Amino acid sequence: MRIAVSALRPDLDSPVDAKFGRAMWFVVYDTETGSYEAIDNAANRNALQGAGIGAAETVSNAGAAAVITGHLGPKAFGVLASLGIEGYVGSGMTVAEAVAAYERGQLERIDEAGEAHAG
Amino acid sequence: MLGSSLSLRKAKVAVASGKGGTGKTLVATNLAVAAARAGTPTALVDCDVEAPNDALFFDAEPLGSSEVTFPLAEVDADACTGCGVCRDVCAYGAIRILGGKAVVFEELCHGCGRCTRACPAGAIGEVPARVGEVEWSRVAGGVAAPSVLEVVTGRLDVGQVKSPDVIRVARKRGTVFARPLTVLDSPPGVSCSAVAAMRGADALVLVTEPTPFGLHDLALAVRLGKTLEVPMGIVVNRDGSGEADIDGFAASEGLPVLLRIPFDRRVAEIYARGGLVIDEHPDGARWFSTLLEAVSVLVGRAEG
Repeated sequence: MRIAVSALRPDLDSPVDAKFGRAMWFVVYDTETGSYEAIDNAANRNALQGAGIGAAETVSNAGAAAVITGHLGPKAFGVLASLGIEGYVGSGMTVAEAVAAYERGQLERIDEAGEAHAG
Repeated sequence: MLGSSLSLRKAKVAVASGKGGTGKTLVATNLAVAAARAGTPTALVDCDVEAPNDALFFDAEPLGSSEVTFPLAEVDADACTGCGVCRDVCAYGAIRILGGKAVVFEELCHGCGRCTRACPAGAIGEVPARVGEVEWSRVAGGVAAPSVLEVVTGRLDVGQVKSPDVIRVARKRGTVFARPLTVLDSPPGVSCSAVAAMRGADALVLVTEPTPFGLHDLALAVRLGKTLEVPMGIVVNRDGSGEADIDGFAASEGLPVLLRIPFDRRVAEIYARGGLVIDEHPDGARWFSTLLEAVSVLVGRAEG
């Protein structure tokens, strides 16, 4: 499966970006092959509005089945939920650490939307 | 005379401020009454659609109301091919391709119609979506005698953001009365809703107070007024309540001070119970006839 991790830099050693809609990058990791691709989130990061739903569209189109980030606002949470994409908390970790923790089932799932306009 | 200069054509006078709470509504309501009493049929349009208060100052006969809607994009999912053309032309990021189909986010859609025209599959239509309402009434009880005064109130629904849509409909309703004078009570600030209320006005009355906040936000409003190329004048409300140099600023900008309303507890008391200062304060009639004359000069300048 593919996991999209919001990240400050486009690599596996990057810290997880606590922001989702306005994250710097999405590192999309493939658990079967161990490979990853990095997607620049500049278009959403700099959007006047609608960053959360734009980012949700980005990770959905990247084929992600799960998202690791710090926080999901109401709109992003709603869009991801409607697409069956689960969100997990990975702030404070690197992308590689967060993916490993996810695979061990150690990440906290985001079950409800957080505050709007927080990232 | 106002009657002569304003009857030349339909004049629109916007009362604005930048800062909230400076006295826009006080000035707009009393100015409208002063004009009607001076023989100029007047319409007062409350463009402060997030918190409209003008009608509270009047005993008025309701004339009508209407819903304000905007044309919300609506996708026919069966016809949508998920090509993404609509998403790419949307200037507001209101459309996303999710699960292979276009999805419209109502709170972001401005109803501009670009997606409807751009969709190669003809899959996007428009449905009216409510954002607020407009009511209009005629002031009763001889308050406006010998002339007439209509009050139009725009009201944005709670939780909605498209105040400019409601302001445009309220202003349009105001023009239906075709009065020689329309007073536009503008919202605070200098963003979209203030622009929607002030654009196309023939004169701008900027109400401020002599505090650092009043002066700071007055400067913003003046910049907006210059951008919109509307002749401006200043009303200093609560004159004497602070030390900010409004007169120095007005002089440096070449703007006239149209009226000073003193820092007087009686004004606040009259206003707080929904009364008209023009009637209840001993100096009220003089203040607002002064302002009316000064505004007619500004409007005359706009007419060249």
